[in-house]
This record gives sequence, C-alpha cells and structure tokens, in this order.
Amino acid sequence: MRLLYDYIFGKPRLSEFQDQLAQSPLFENFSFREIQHVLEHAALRTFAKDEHVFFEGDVSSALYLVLQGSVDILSYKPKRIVLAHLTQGTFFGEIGVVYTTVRSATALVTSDTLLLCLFKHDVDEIITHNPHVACKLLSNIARIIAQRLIATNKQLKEP
Amino acid sequence: MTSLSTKFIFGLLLLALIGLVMYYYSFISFNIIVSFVCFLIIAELLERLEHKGFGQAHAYTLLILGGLVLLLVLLLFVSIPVYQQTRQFISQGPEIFARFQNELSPLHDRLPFTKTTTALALEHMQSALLVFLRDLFSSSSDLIVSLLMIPLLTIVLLASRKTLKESLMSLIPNNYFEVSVTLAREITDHIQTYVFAKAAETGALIIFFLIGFLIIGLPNAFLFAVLSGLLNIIPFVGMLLNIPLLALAAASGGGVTLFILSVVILILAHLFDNAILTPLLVAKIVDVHPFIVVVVTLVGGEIIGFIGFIIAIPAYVIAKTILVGLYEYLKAVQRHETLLAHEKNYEQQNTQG
Repeated sequence: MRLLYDYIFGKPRLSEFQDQLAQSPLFENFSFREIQHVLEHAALRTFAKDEHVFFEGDVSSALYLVLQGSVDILSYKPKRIVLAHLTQGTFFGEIGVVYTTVRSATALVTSDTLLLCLFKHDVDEIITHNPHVACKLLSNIARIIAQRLIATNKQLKEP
Repeated sequence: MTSLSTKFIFGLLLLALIGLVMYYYSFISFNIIVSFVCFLIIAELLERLEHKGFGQAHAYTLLILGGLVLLLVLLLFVSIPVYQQTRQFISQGPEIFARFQNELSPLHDRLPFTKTTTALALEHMQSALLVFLRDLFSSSSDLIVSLLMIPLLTIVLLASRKTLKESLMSLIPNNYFEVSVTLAREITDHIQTYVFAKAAETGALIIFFLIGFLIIGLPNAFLFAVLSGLLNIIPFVGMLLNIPLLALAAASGGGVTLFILSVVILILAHLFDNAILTPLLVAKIVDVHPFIVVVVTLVGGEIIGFIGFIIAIPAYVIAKTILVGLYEYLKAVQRHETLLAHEKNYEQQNTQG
C-alpha cells in the first residue's frame, strides 16, 4: 500500500527544482517562464547507487542534469579511470542533443541520484516552437562544451 | 548460437506473439489503434495551437469547433451525395453489369475464350462490390460499438495527455530508458506524419478525381471520386483496382468513350500523385523499396483484408523500427557486458599481482 502511495504521490515533481535549476549553467540567463518551457519537455529519472546511466559506445540521444546525488564519468579501457565527478547542478551527455553520435565515456551513479533528462527530439521541438528559448539553451550548451574543450587542451599541454 | 542471436530470436517471437494476439482480438486491437492514432493527431494539433499562444481551453474549443465544421462540410457536401449515389448505383447494379457485358460483346466475338472468363470475373465483382457498398451504409453492431468506443478512448487519452507521457516513461526501467524513449518517439512521429500525409494526399486526389469526373460527365461522380481516392491509399495496387471500377461507372451511362476518358483522368491523377503529391508529402516518410511496398501490401491484404492493405506499410515500418532498435539494444548490452567483464578481469589480475 505504501509503495502504491509513493508511486502516486511520492514522486518528485520538476517544479520542486525550479530554484535549483535557475542556478545551473544550463539555464544561465533563463527567465522563470523559459525554464518552465524547457521543463515541459524534460523527464525525471531516479537511479540507484552503482547503476549505469549510459555506456561508452551507446548511441547518444539525451542530456542529463544532476538534481540530487552524484555521477562519475569514466572510461573502462582497460581499467576504470574516473574522468570527472559530477554533483548537483552540473550536466553531462550534452553532445547527444546537438550531434547524433556515440557516447565517448560511461556515466556511473555513485549515490542515489535524481537526474533531469532532456532528449534530442525535445530540443528539436523547442527549436521549432520556441527558437528564442532554444537559442539560449544551445548557447549555454556550446559555452560549456567550449569550456570543457579548453580545460582538456590545458590538461594535454601540461607535462 | 550466440547469446545475442538467442535474445534477438526471443524478441522476434515476442513481437510475433503480440501480432498474433492483436490478430485474434482484431476488433479490440483495431479500436485501440484507431483511438491512439486519433489521440496522436488531436494531441499534435492541440500542441501546435498551444505553441501559437492559445490557452488549453481555447485550443480545445477551437479544435471542437473546427471538427464540427469539418463534419458538417463532410456530411453536406460529401456523405449525402455519396450516400444518394451509392443507393442509386446499388439499385441499378444488375442493369449496369448487364450493360457492361454488352459493351464487351465485340471482344467476345473476336476472342470467344474471353466470354467465360469475363462473365465469371464480372459476377464475382458484382457480388463483391454490391455487398461492400451495402455494408458500408448498413448499421452493424460492430460499427456502433466502434463509434462509441473510439471517441471514448480518445477522450480518455486526451484527458491524461499531460501526464500520459510521464506515466508511461516511469514504467520503463533505467537500462532501457534512452533506447525505449527514442524508439517510441520515432514510432509516434512516423504514425503522425504518415496519417497527416496520407489524409492530405487522399483529400487532394478525391478533389482531383471529382473535378475530372464532373468535367467528363461520369455518372455518380461523387461516389466514384471518393472510391477512387480511397483506393489510392493502397500503394500501387489501388490505382489498378480503379480500372474495373471506372469501367463499371462508364458502363452506367456513356460506354467506351466515357471509360477511355475516365482512364485518362485516372492516369492524370496518377501523374499528379507521383509528380507532386508523393514527393511533397509521402516520399520522405515511407523510405521503403517499391518491391517491398507491393509485397507487404499484398501480404497485409491477404491476412486481414481491406484494412490490411491500408495499414500494411505503416505496420511494416513500425515493425522494422522496433526490430532494428531491439538488435542495436542487444548489441549494446553485449558490449556493456564485455566492458564490465574486462574491468573485472583487470581488477582480479591487479589484486592477484
């Protein structure tokens, strides 16, 4: 009975995370209404500790934003190397919404985690119906990709 | 046998089982599928209106008003003339068939062996066509149940429109999530665009046929324009099925000249469809080889009759999408297992070392 109650009433709602989302780099310069517009297309997923969100080589079609918990981005070739440790407010898998390719790394949940998931087709829909919001969203994604590229270049140059 | 192929065969069997259950409960399946398609179309229209700045209540009101106007137009300008002309055609049926046989008598004189064949074909066609037309307007219990069930199911689905996606998504386990959502999206997109494109194509062709038939003075032009347009839904085969139908129509008043003229209209409609409508509306959606289109359509028609002709292509594309998705998913699972096994081995070697 408790399980049924939790299933119906206990599920977290995206609107509960509105303030937290406003702080995320993904929604920088977004108004409350614009965030709401993106959230209409997004979905919430709960992952248990040690569950994989995706694996290296999988077809990428979605972006994930960490709402609660933490996620490790790692490579398994051949041993496990942690490339990044992501916590609340950060996002990963962003290449999947701008370019259809395969995942370049694996995402492993390191504690019980709540993720916001935005698919490529949802972003395409935002582009069609609300280009102004899509522009802001894609601009933020491009900025983060550029920052990560600069950081990687720096790491490679370091002796 | 590898584990991938075993799993794939299991997936295939599961799909076949679902297909079999749907075939055995075809009436319920048909109603559910039609309701779901109606829901997808109305939901898409609602979403477009909402994105244009209409509130939910205004969007619903606008759609209901639009639907009522469309129904009224269809009733006054299509259904009533078609109904009247169908009644007329049924009452004149035997006479028209006899006249048609007379028109063919010069052919029988030259080629006597065609006499029995055409007589048999005409007899078969007469019974099939007249029974089809009679059934079309007779109120059977199935039709009444469908007329009640489809709007009811569509309304139920529309009422939970905002939460339906979320509820369905929550049922998917995490490891199938991304692949299932992408596949489901691909399938619903395909259904929506296919239905919109086919409806637009059929509507344009009915208007084309009607104008052509009215110009050449074909009797019962409304009835034959609607029938010819609807037959076009069946890929390739539909246009061929139109020829005997038009021959019959011409035989009801006008003879060989009218038949030739109506075939000219049919060819022009075919050109209009292939040169303008199909490239504009359908080609991008149905990216299937013409040979497969013909085979799949015939198989669909053989299994479930007239409805099979119509749904064969979308059903084939959906089944293909699911199978390709399933295969890709199983391949990905195998790759995940290999990755994890490699890491485990590496850790074990390191511990032992």
